[in-house]
Amino acid sequence: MYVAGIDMGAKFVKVVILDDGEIKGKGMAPTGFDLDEAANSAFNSALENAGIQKDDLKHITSTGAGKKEVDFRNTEVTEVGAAAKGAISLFPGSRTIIEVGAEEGRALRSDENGRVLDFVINEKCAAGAGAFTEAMARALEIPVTEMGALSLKSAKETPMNAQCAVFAESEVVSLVHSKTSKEDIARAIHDAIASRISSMVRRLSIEKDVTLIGGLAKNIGFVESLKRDLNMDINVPDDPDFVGALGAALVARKKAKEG
Amino acid sequence: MKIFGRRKSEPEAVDNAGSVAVERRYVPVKVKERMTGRRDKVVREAKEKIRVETEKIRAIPNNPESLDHFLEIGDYFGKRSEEIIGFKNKGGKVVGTFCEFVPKEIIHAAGAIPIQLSCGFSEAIQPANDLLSDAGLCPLMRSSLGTMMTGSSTYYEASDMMVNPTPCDAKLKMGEIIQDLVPVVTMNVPRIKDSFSARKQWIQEVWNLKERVEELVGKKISKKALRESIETYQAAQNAWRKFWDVRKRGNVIWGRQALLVSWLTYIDDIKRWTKNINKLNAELETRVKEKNFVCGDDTPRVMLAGSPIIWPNWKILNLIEESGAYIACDELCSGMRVLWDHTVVDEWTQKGMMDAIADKYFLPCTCPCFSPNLERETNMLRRIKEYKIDGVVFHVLKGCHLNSMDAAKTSVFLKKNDIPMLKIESEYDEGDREQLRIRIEAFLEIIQTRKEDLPF
Repeated sequence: MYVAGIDMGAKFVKVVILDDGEIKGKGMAPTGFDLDEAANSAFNSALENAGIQKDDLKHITSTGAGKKEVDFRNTEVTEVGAAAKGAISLFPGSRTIIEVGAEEGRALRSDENGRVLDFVINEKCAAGAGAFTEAMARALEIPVTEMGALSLKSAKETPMNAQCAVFAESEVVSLVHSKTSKEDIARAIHDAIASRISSMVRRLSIEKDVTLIGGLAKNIGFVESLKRDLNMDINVPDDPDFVGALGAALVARKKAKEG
Repeated sequence: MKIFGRRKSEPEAVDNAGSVAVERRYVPVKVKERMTGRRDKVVREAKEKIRVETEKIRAIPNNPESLDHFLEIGDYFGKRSEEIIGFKNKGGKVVGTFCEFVPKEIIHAAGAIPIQLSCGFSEAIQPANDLLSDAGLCPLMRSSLGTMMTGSSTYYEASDMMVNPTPCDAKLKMGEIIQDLVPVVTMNVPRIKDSFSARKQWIQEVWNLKERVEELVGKKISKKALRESIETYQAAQNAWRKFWDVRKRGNVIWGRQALLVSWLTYIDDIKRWTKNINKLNAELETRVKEKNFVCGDDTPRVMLAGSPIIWPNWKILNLIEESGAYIACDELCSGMRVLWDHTVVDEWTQKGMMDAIADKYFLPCTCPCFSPNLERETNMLRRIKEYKIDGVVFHVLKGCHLNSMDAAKTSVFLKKNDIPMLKIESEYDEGDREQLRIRIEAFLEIIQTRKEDLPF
């Protein structure tokens, strides 16, 4: 039985197709301005990837900021609920799940059934989210994909306040002027995000295991900073950005079974 | 119609040497003149906001008929404004109030109209920001100040005096700023409730208010008038308790309608308000009997706590109830608290009545300005039980430090009692609507999955 989960994120749309709990296909497209087009394009590439037709799907569940924009959804689930279910299915021991996407950082506590017990979401500011790394990479004039590896070369802690992306950019400029190396600045940036995220997680109180998902989990520099800050090991799945879509697909599977 | 000419302000303050006038610091007349050009925009957008929110409430299916009166009074630029202008033209005095702490019985007894000035106009915030350039102050204060500076509300313009209790820093300092626009009676709210001097001091503050109101109207408040006023408010308090008793017995009226009714206790003529809520109570009573409910038993029941929600700024209420929850009760000073506590008079002497009034506004009050504030916990837990609450939404206006800190404390004791709580921070504008929606939806999902038996 095929079902699909579609995660309408702020920057990317992610789709996961499941066949009885096994991932059969994935698709991704930048969100852009035309949400319909983005949803369809990610959805079609997932169908193609799975080698099935739309009619083969028993149930489609949407999640993410634009979850209500998906016309062809059967049901929807909140980002928080999807993240919990996706992460628990990959790491059943997780009790604390941290998700850092493009525009938002979230942390939640879940029971063994993927039932959310409590959650926190960062406030309006971008400094706890992926968009912040992008802005900083621009300031450093390096591709965002290289930020992680670059920061790992640094062994030095450089304090950075980073309350807001715009002010942080001027902080980076002053660091550049004071001849701080790019490696150290890259690390300082990841440390700053990690410290904001971990203070948010602590507000929730941490229970092991901790799993990190969302686009920023692909940045090894950030993962290291977060491990250091929380002083514990963290699970990171292979495709951390697809976990929300996976969670939505699991909800779809449950709904389909219930009829 | 010239009723709003510049009023005579109080005598210039003098320093201790007794000769040098203290310079006017905050809002010189010039600032107000400069602001007049911005009045139109604030008024236009406030009117539109009131229209939109009124329509939204009217559009709710199965609206109680008796709600019409409240929607009419909810138009700040309509009937009530005209009444107040008419009253002033006949020589009546209007006293602006700024908080739940103001003993309205005293103003009413003097034959003046008490009217609440705390403001929900989002558009008035910018003018205040221009003056304060401070984003750290709560939107309620900024909006109220902006409305006053731009002269955008009849209620503000008509006020001959303003009573400003000082539970928080923002209100304390705002009182100073607006002294240049209108005479202000500052009421010092003692914040350590169980200290030896607190009650005594507060009673003194209430006596002082009485004197100032008497000066304003030019005659003493008689014992008879004070008693009549207390009895008028007691009738309103009884009707209000009845309303909450009916709400307890069935989901007969949405929270976003109930909170409009409660807010208008500050605005409407209190006798007329009482008459109309009695009508509403009767209608809702019939609904309970006929099992004519606005939502089913399975609807998640939310208690709203925290900073006040001021009409027409209905964003939070709409978000919660549109997301599928029912606000079954609240603990807001703009909500249930307005007339909840009774003025209990032991002896109908002047002293007995004044003590009773002072006590009513002070002892049972659960404003976060107090420390310790065990009343708030007890109150919340009792209501959670009585109204079968599934979860608490703790709403904090950004910059309201007292509520923000109480939210942290509340989350701990609610956790102990196994009640989920969501803290949300908001501004008046619509910019954070979707972020808030994400949080509220996720919170309601938690409440609902708690009830599900099936493991995922």
